[in-house]
Amino acid sequence: MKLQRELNLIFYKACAELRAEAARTYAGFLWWIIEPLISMGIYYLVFSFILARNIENYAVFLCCGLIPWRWFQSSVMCGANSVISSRSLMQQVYIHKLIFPCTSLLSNTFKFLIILALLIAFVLLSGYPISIKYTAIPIIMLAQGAFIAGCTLWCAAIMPFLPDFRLLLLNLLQLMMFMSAIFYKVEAVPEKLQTLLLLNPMTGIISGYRDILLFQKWPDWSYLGAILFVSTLLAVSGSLVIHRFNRIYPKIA
Amino acid sequence: MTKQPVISLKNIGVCYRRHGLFSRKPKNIFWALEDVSFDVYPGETLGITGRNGAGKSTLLKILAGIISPDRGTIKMSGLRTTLLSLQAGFDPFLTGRQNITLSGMLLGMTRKEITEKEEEIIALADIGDFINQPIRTYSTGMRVRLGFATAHYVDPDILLIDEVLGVGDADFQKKSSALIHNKINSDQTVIIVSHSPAVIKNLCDRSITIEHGKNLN
Repeated sequence: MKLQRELNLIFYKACAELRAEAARTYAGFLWWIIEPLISMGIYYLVFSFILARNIENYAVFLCCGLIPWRWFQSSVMCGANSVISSRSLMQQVYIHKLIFPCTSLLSNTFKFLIILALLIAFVLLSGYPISIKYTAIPIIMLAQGAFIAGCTLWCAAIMPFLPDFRLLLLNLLQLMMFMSAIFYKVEAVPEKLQTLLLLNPMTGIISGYRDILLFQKWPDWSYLGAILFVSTLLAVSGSLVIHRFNRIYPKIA
Repeated sequence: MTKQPVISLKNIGVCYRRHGLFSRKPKNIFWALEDVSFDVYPGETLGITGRNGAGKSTLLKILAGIISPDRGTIKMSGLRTTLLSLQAGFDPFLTGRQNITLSGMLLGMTRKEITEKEEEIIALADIGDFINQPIRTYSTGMRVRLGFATAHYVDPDILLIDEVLGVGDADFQKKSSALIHNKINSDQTVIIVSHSPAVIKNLCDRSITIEHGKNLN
């Protein structure tokens, strides 16, 4: 009964946040599409013309990397600040603090789903065939979702104790972005570096999306399995930390 | 009284650390509550008074379950305890209706309860056609009335009130303070915190005075 109440709250709060966000601008929810398009356009210009890469259909290749990356980045940024930014609310009413990061995970996932649908349309329109391999998309999303949840919950858990971490996080995410094989192929870097890059789960996940959407290949199952396993551990331990400090956060935030 | 207490506090202490996580030195630790003990019985109206900084707000947060004590024990009989907080979770870009639902859920109502009471809440708040407009277009008075109306229909087992005051303009102040007095005089268990001993004496069956983080009686 109580869990049901909390799930309802997460769901309604996520919807409310999305609605409020859309109501803030004239173009409203169209920004969820326009904004990613603009940022991808910029990266496309920079990497395609100025830093000329020799990859065919670079626009599609780039989108397959950037779109999953944006899901990760915006969820982690948003979720990491979710507990701190609810400072005044948690002084007024008792709510379980897990609700805050879960709400931002949900709303960011919703936005990602819209863009993912557009990505698939773009891939198909560019002449890539649809294949049985598309059935692996939900599985790769599950692995990525778990990884996102793990990172987000841990960031949200420690952020109220370490406000300085927030400034560091921006730079960490930027470093991680350039090490995620979004703008280049993993195979294009020296072999020694490849192993290092693959230690970053986002590298493997992005290669997985490309395998499915562009190369009609199954993703690397054992790699995805390992990510899913480690991420679940991260997510569960992060949740436990938040649960442990559930009634401490209002005192320090 | 022979009844079992619904809340039982024993030697409650709460401390705040001045420099966050990394301070263990005693001079950086401030005990807002040092040693507070009392019982709350079902159906009674309990008043808590004390000067500014005596620890009243901290005590309310303990009772509302917002924070947990650093020492001592608290026994609650699993009842819903809610602090009467106005406009909790209100978002200026959501409509009046959406804010009622959001705030109501945060205060512990279910979607079903809110749907049932929605029209009554809107009638009490007296917002008119504005109810479907984002509340950033509301006047301060309208926002206050909507906040009060929503919180009024939350029906916890134990109600916590921080300073009994009517809110809004003169008319609504009368209406809202009458409604709060009704709640206080009903069978509901109510705990009122106020810095004014007169208010407490007037409204409560029993009172407790907090001073320097300890209760006197």
